[in-house]
Amino acid sequence: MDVSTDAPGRRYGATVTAVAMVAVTVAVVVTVQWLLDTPSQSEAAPAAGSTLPGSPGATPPVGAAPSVSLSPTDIAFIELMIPMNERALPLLDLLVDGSVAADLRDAAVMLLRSYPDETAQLRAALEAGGVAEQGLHAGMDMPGYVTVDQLARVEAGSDRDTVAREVLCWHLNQSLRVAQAEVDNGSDPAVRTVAQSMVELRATTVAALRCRQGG
Amino acid sequence: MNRLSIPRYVTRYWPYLAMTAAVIIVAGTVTASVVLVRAGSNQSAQPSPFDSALGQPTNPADTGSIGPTDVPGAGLPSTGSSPSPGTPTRAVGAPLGGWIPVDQAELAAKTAQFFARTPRPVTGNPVAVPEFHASCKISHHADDDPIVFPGLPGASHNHTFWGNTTTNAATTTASLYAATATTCNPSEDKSAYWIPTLYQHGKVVDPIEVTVYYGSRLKDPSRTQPFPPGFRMITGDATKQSDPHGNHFWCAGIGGEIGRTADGEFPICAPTAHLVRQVTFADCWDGKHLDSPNHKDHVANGNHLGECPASHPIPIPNISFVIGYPLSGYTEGITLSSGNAVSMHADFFNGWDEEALAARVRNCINQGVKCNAAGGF
Repeated sequence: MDVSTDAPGRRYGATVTAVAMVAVTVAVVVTVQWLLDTPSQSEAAPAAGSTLPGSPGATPPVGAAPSVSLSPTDIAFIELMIPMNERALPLLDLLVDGSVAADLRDAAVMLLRSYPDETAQLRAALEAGGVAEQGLHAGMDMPGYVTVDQLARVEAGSDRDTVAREVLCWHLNQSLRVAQAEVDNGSDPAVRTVAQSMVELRATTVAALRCRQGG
Repeated sequence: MNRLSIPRYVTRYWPYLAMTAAVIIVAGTVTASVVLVRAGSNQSAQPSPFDSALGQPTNPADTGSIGPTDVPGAGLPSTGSSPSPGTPTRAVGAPLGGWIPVDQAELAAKTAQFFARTPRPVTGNPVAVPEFHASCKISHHADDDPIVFPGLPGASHNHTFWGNTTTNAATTTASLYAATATTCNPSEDKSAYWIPTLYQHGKVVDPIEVTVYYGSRLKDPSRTQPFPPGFRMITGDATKQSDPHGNHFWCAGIGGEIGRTADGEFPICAPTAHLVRQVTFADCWDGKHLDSPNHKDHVANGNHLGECPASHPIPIPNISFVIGYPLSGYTEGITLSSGNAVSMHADFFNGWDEEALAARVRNCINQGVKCNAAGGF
């Protein structure tokens, strides 16, 4: 190429390029610094101010509130709901694979698609709040937790649709009730948003399955 | 060819022009991206609040104002059930949620005030057992648990409540102290007490009466002090469904136990006796928290020397529920709302009038004598 032999021109071009690069780099660094620094300091205040808004259930009467955004209600909700979702999975698996009414299978498919995501979101919220998962209810048969006996009854399959519908409706109604309580009384916006989506999924499913109210 | 039609200065300097243009384009893109990101983060409350949760520091130490050192006992292993396999837990670091701190200055002042009290001189000839009690009738039932599921009505298995008549999922220290009614004698005890509901063949069987004893198992009961208002704890473990020594139902009264139910789970009582269950709480406190994440870690039992461990140095009254059921000769078909007999557990949420509690702890427990429900000898 002829330019490669043109030494003076090359030097001139190199200077222009170097100056441009330095100038632009300085401009970018200054801009980025300004953009990152200023707002991040002003954001620190609302973050600290939003600590432990005090749930209706457990307002600390004395002493300083701990610096977390999760209220006792939020934490209790997450601890209760993670196993409630997980304990439903074997039932949902059974309904997806087995020969059951179409509405039951459709519901199971929809729930199976959402439950692991919900559980992951709840765990992430707990983690984000700096709270260790206690697994307080893991081994228990809390209301809404699908039991070994219930699973066995569905598997026995003498009137599988009726039994499965009864168990699934019972689980969904209790799960709906607790999620609605979190929407009403929880504090952390992220957890309440997950709870709201849980309410909607369960309300839709309860309607689709024509579950009796509350059971 | 084509190249000949391009002006000479372009062909001569094109690498430099291209490089400069590239630098400007890259810089512009970076700047624009940063501006967009900043603008986007200012509306973080709107789009997916979940993103904002994920955006929070995941390391408790990063939250700044509270670190592990601010949360005494935070690193203690849970005495409750261990998480199920595969459950991601924080191996190290402080669980910040669930610990409700006590105002240390206020506690110190009240403790000094308490030990400065002159105990009332013992009169008569009371039994030399450090103890006072409240005699209670059942108040109500609800699917609520303000300690384990605060703010979540209907989340719990059914509980049988006594003491404060207002106890529900929304109960707080303030609501306990604002309440006027209790099913306990003395009336200064507005505490909330509850246990799983007992059924026989699916029908609720309420205790005839519950006596709540406040005593001491420690070597030196003179250092026991009252728990603060709003202090709460649970005892027993509803997750323990298979502990062979976990069933503590027995027959109280003349004749006692005359047999066992078909499954061996429950005693059959003589006609002059009745079914009783006793649950006992821990009697040493960390002195720092009204509650802990599993509602147990802020308290502990005394050690084999009858002293409180260094982790939980404050002796508190040893609470014991003695629950009498109207069941004697026929005890088949008994279940608890929480599962089988072993899953029995109990909850306490302190709502005692501070003066009434302090007087009883000082006069009865500290002096090692048994008082009546009114706190007298």
